[in-house]
Amino acid sequence: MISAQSSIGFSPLVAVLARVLGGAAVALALATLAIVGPSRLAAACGSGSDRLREAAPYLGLLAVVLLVNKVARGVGPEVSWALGWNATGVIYAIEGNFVQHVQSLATPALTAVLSTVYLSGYVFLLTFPFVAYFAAADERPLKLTAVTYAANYAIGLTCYVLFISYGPRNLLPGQVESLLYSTYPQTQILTGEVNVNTNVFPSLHTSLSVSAAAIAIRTRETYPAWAVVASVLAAAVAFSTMYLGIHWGTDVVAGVVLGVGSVAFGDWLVGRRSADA
Amino acid sequence: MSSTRLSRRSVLALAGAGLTSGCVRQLESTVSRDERTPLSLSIKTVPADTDATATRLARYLATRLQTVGVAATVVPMSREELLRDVLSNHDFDIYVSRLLLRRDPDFLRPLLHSRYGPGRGWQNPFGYGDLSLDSLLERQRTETGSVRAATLAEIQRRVVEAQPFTPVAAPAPAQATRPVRVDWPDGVGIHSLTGYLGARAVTTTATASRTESTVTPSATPAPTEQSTSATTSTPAPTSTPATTTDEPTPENELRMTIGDSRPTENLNPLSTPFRSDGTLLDLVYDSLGRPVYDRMRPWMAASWEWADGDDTTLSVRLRDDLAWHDGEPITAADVAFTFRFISDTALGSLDQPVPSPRYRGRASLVESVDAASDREVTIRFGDVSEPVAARALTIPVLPEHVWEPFARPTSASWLDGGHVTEALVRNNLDPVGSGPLRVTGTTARESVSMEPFEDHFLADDALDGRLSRFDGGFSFDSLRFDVVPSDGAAVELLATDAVDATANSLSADSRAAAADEPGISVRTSRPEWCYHVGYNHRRPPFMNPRFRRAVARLVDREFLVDSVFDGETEPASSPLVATTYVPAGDAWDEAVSELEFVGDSGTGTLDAERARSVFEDAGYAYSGDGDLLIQE
Repeated sequence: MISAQSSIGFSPLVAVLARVLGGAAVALALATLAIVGPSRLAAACGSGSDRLREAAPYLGLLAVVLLVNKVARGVGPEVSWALGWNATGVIYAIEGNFVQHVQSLATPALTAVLSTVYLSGYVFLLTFPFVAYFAAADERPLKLTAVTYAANYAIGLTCYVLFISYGPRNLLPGQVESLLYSTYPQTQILTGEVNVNTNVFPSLHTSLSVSAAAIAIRTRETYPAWAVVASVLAAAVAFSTMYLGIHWGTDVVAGVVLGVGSVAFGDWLVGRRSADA
Repeated sequence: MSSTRLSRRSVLALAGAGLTSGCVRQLESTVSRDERTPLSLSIKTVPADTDATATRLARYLATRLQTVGVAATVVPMSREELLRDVLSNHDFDIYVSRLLLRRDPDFLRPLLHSRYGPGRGWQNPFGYGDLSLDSLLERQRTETGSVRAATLAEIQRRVVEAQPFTPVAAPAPAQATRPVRVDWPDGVGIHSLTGYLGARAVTTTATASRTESTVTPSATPAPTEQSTSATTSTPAPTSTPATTTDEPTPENELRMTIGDSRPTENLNPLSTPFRSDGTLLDLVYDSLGRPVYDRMRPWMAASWEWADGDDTTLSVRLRDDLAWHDGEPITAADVAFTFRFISDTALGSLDQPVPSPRYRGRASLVESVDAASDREVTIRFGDVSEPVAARALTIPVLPEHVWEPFARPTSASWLDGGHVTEALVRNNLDPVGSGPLRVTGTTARESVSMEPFEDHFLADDALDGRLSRFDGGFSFDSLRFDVVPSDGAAVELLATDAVDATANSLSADSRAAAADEPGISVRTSRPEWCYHVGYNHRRPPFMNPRFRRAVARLVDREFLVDSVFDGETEPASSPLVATTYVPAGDAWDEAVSELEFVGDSGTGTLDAERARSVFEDAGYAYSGDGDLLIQE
């Protein structure tokens, strides 16, 4: 979505993007060295093409879903408004001022940490598994990761099209602070490029992070450190979405369900195809 | 249609009343056919990203309504969806939004006259009807001076009494700019036709703002001196060294932020949901006359004259050599076509006329428009005073050769019943106007670009008297509006010199943030809109004036001005707050004080018991659980 057009207009956008991706890249490099290790990586490069061929259909599926996602997000809002199911009031009626209570913990240092987690930490959490599982002996986690992400996007996108829901910062100005965007206004230009503010239910940040962590826990024998890092990071991402005023608690709960459910679906699909083979 | 409304309302009922106070009771009352049910309602408004002030007002009202036993839910919607529901579908209970204020009080006539209730657009969206108010509204447009002022005072007294809608406050628009880059004309808002036409690049643009640290300071005069004295012309090309290259934008572009992305998707001057103040299109479409520094001046017209002894006939002479942006010449026939077209965008091809909702109020002043010659137009007005008649001269003139083909039912006529024309719904992203700026491109949800129209009459440099200050027309090489997701992001872009000014008005918080940034100044202008609470009189209990008055007494303007606005904003009891027509005196004060806040004024704290008794006095009862009951 970050087109050349907008980058001309918004050099601050390029700066934010560089910082977010730069942070994730540094984390990715460090984690690759520390968790995967040079020897495993070198070995993987030899047999890598086989594993890639094996996983290609699954990675292809993910690519197709991401492509559909990109197209559908353009027309999605119009369909949502035509359906007219505005869930914002229902969600607020369910949880009330929960997010406001979460924000009572706010300190400048915590805001800085959680903003970084929300932006860079999230990108790192989702991309590292591809590096790690590409280097692993077993190709199953790689397939599982691709299918699980695809399921997250497919179901998440369906919800986005079906429901209109604005986040707490949009319904409760003055009560819930838009911490990320009021502390770092330039980041809103970036996230505004990626997300539409009517799409908060469920939290895809949460669901994808939970999926990544769930798969990390499965592969703890291969990458024990990653299981710990991913779990902590996923929890931090989920918390940050509420802390920053972006998501409702309800979105996060739905995100956890979606994240776990997507892994189960991935298991079923990968298992079935392996059995067929 | 009615089934979707039902289902949506029942969802809201579930959200509001059901989930907070138990579904069972509501179910019981339905089953037992008790016709009194707890009132649950929705307050439609825009989300905080779009207009935090509106969202906060809606939240304020929702919590106070909950205190008096009404299950109120705030429903945030995008701008265009809100306008569609309020102005076209009339599908709302209560809404909170901006009301655009016009200079001449005659804007109240289409807003409140009962004849406009069934139509679309900003014409009586409430469905309010009061025959005696109707005749007062008709009378004021024929009157002048103190007679008109007296009629308008009576109208306002009645409006306060009946509360067809509740005005809250009219803040001053506040825009931020970098004075070292652009010098804006005094006395007008930045985001206005006169603002853009009067804007001048500060002569030493590049040296002053971009290379401060690399160029010897003595080479550049102090920026403050520059911004006040350099009102001359555009910078000479030689004075702009290309030493800083991180800005690939054209050197002499005026770069603005807008918060409203609708113009990037629709530039149709006749559209209702996509238009608000219409400033962008004021640059693109000219009209016969323009209010310039408070006086209506001939614009596309070279001159006009009232017929001798007949104050209802105006002869307008067009300027010579006027051209459309596509190069076609403009003739009197285009003007006559425009007035015919806005009164019926189907041009007689359907059973009923399909007027442009946006201009119905102004079009209603005119009886007929005829092209007397190639350059002369004769306009016959109904019984209206000259200042009111002049409002009709601000209607944008449209090219007949572009719009005539769209005078047909939409291709979705099976959906809209065949009573909507293509002209009203087309996107018009390549508008052919005759204004001082021409649209060169749009990117959906990102930007709109314009450039000066070199054949515009202002570009000729030979203007007389009043318009001479605009000689040469728009002085930059191009004008660009970039959509920003929020006020905060706009201020950030301004701070990094990625834009020159904000077209969007800043909320109180962002205004404070902008004032703290070095090199940024905030300019305010006089109020252009008023925040208000609108009621749908087509639905119970909002058709009951006693109910509306009770709701109005939940509004603590003093508190809201301090907490939601910036403390200096004028609270508004009358929609004419920005005019000189707000009455003074005992009768007015009494009418206003009858609607005093029921609580500790200035704190926003409601006296719950007294507030409930106000509703009881209005004839409403409460259930054992404290829910306000209405007859469905």
